Amino acid sequence: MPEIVTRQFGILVYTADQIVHFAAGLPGFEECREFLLHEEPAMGPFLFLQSLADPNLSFVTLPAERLEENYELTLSRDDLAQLELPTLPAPDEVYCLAILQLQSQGANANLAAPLVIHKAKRLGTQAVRQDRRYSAQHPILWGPPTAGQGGD
Amino acid sequence: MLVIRRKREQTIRIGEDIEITVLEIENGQVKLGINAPREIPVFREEIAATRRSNQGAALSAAALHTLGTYSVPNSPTEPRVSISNSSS
Repeated sequence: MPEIVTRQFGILVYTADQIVHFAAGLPGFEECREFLLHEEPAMGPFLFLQSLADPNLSFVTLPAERLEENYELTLSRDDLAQLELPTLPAPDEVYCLAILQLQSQGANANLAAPLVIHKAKRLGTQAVRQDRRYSAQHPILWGPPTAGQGGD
Repeated sequence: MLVIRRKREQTIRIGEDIEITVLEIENGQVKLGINAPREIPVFREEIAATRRSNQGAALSAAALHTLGTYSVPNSPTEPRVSISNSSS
């Protein structure tokens, strides 16, 4: 089985069906088109996206509905083309994942541009919303307590 | 902010090399044509914001270690899916 030596996760052994193809890459990382979608059982419900092109590049995500109850995913015609879908997918056919930004002063999630991955086709796109319904910096309130004074 | 009114098929110019023309105005949307030198990237603002957000989200090992302290609430529902009519 193929494997990749990553900075964050050490050696990841994977199978072809774990690879997700982003035909256009991700904004800011247009040259990274293949990612592994993997879970780390010790780390709860997070889903990790590891670039195969750049072993140093990975993202941590959560399903958008865990961050915002009744989250509504909006796909543009471009998004559907990236996913090679003629019509809208059923909700359970796709993952809708918000990328998390973990910073020492707190964490937030990008609900304005979720990663949408078709589970069966293994195709993905970052569905950048054109409206302002959801925040690109949705605060995560159930994270670790922020470091107090005198911490290391 | 500089504000300029333009009608369909009128243009504004930024510097010598950048030209923005109003091509179409319809249903509250305006279609713009942009001529700019190849080295000047042109993005919709939400794409530029996504680039910045993605670049800030690339995971570091230190951040990864904080994840174990998160207690994520459960949510059983799948999101609803709809399509946006605006074309890019």
